[in-house]
Amino acid sequence: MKVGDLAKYWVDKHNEHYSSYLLSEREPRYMMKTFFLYSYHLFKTLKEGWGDFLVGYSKIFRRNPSNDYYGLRDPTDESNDNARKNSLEWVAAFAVCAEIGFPHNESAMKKFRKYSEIYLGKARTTPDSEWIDFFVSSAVAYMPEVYERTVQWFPSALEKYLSKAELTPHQLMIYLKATRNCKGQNELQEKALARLLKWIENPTDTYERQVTIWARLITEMQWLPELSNEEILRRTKENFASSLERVYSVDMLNSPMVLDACYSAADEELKKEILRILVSRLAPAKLIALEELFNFLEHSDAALEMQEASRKIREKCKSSVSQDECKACMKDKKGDCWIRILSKLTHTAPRLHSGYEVADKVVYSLQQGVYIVVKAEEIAHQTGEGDVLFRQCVTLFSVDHALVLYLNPFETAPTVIENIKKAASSSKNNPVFEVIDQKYVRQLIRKYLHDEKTDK
Amino acid sequence: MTRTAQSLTDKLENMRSYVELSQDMLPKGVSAKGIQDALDFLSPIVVLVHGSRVSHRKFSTKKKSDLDILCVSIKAAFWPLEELYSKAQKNLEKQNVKIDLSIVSYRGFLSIFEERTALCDSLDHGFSVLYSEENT
Repeated sequence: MKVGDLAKYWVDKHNEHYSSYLLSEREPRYMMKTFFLYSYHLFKTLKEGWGDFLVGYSKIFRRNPSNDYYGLRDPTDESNDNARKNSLEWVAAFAVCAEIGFPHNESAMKKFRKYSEIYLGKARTTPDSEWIDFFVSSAVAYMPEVYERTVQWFPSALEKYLSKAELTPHQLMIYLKATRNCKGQNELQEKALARLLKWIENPTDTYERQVTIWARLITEMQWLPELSNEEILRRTKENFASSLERVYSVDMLNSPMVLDACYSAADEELKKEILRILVSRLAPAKLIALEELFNFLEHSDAALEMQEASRKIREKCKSSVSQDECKACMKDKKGDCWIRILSKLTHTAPRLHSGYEVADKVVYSLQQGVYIVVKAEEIAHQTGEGDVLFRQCVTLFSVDHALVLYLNPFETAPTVIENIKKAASSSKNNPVFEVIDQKYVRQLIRKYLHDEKTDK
Repeated sequence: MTRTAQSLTDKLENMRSYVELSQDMLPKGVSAKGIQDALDFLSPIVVLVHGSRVSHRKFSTKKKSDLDILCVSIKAAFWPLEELYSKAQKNLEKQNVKIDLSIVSYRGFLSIFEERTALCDSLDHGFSVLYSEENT
């Protein structure tokens, strides 16, 4: 599988599922939860430019998955399939809580702790159950401060786990992570490490399985000097690349981790190629939020033909338009301007000349605290134009938690936008300033014109 | 008032579990106005009260019921929920009663019914509209 194809595959899956994860109150099960956890790790690896997703993920990871949720996730379930899913779901849940925190809701947090303790108690008495080692080891690996008692008895359990003849590298890796938090257990760590190194020297799985093992070694195990030394890392990367070349596909669950490994192991050129695919195809987190207001928006740049039309729309029909004139125009149209467009698209009556409107720009008050600012002319000639826009937006930031959406059909001078963003981030009132770029502005126009046509 | 708020209020008022708001749904000393003010920064489309105080059906052994409030706001999609919760809880502390608050976006609210979540069960047992943008 080519890295470019893998990147496209992950982006498509992410576009498909992220929005529903964000909006659906139903907590995803192990497969999707792990997919999102690995996607979160991938965004962390990419660093700059993907902050919206890091915020978005931390928001949804900590929501309340309803009170009885954890009570139904028994990793010692009699059904092997349920035990596997539940155990692996706890692995993701422990990792999420360790990195981001418990659910916001206090009772959900209590239930999480209560049921995890109950299941750890059961796990202690059933060390031979299949999959239980993932559950116990991840509790120790990710949250040793929370599960102190488990940390105490974990070494004896690990001895039993390690006595098994058949252990996958995934098992060995989670054991190694757990032993980091058990003082004086060097012998057990060495045992696990020796078996893992043996596998690295003589990999025995199918290429499909090998891909995820090599990827995990690259993305999660580089803290261990024995695995990050030059020789082992070179071998790991080579084997990862050759395994990936030999497979036709990667399963959805692990695709972000494999892409994360590709990016980490890539040279500068390949890194750029991956980023180019992500930038062009990944629906930004901002779009999903904007869909709250404009549910017809698409990530694809599908309204290029509206470029000229969007630049011809006037901010207002005249400089000193009254609220009554605007309201009358909604029924008896005098022309197309941004006030009319926003009124029609958001199904709201225009509220003009509020205390927040300064100079001759449009501040469309959707609600108290939710504003759309339009600058439908190029900032080019007159000095001070940017200052007016800056002052206008900063005035809005005086409202507690103001949401200011800035329509940007002319791609206003980037320095002005940057200054407004800085003012927003330093405001004590915690405003959000979001720029709606040309791509979406054109879609707004298209939708408006389409609705106008069908209304006739 | 947005048409979103209008259609949402119409939809809610036509639901079987909708009941008119009465003062006995709120604990002593708590006013609808006080809750509105506390949640004002969220620019809510609608604020609902639900749970046993409305339905008079108790599912826990606690003597006193918490006050269950659901706030639907566009802003839920734009800020980290943690921040909105922490600010709302701080404002609600003045109400001197334990309030179980849920903040959801407009589309998130619609999904509560589509996904039949626990919150949906509570709303099915009874809810009332404490505040609607329609009335502003």
